[in-house]
Amino acid sequence: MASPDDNSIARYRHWYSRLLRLYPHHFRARFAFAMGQTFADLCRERAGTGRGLIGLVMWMFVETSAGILKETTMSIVTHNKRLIVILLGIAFVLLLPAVAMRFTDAVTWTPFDFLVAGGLLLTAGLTFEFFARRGGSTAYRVFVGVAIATLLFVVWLELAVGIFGSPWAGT
Amino acid sequence: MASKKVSTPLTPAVLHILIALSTKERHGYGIMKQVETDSRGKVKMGPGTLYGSVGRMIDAGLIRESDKKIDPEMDDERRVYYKITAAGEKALAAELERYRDVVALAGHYG
Repeated sequence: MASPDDNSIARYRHWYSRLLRLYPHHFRARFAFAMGQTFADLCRERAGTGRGLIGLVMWMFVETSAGILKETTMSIVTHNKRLIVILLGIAFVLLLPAVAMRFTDAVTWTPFDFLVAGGLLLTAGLTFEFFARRGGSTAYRVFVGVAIATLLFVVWLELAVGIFGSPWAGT
Repeated sequence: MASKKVSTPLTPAVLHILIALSTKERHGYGIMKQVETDSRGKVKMGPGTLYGSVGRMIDAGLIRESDKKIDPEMDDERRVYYKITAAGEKALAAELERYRDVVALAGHYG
């Protein structure tokens, strides 16, 4: 017959298994079962000393939650390296006029200008990411990148100085 | 899977796991207990730290999964055992050598 400790450990292990579902899929598939076993082993060891389980269980839940946060962050970074580079690149480009405005009156961007420029760059970046994720050769990606950059340049010029005379043309 | 480059110096968790596996293959709980013994209770690893490090060490080729088997000293559940690789032994030796150099240098100034 199972002891009260065995029942508690089984219940805690069940909750722990639920927590492990928060790990990225590839990590969970590799280690979730072994982690559940180790969790139960540590609980049994603690129960054998006659001390209460709740402190240990709480500690392992917190420690594993930190692990989940770490693995999830690493998974996002690993699988979205190009997207992160694109977003950092956009932030850098927008930083240039922001810094320039502090030193010269020749650059005067309003918050709306930053919003439009940010929107344009983000659209261009995400469009490139979309096509790049579909696979294809390096030549295909370069072609897509050049096409999007050219289109972005033309739209930017139209908004800035108005080369086509559209309703959105700048002066 | 292609081995990822091992970053040096090794993190404390990786170093302790390599030392624990340098004598024999162990399962997760066995590694934890050995690390606790080796460090005289100063290093207490939880499952999150242990298996996060184990995953990275397998990817880096420092350790590998051995057989799944029953530990006669425990229950009848089959456990995954981990084993140090030749690259792991090399990395451990290099790290211990680095520690020896640091201790020797500290001795100079001490």
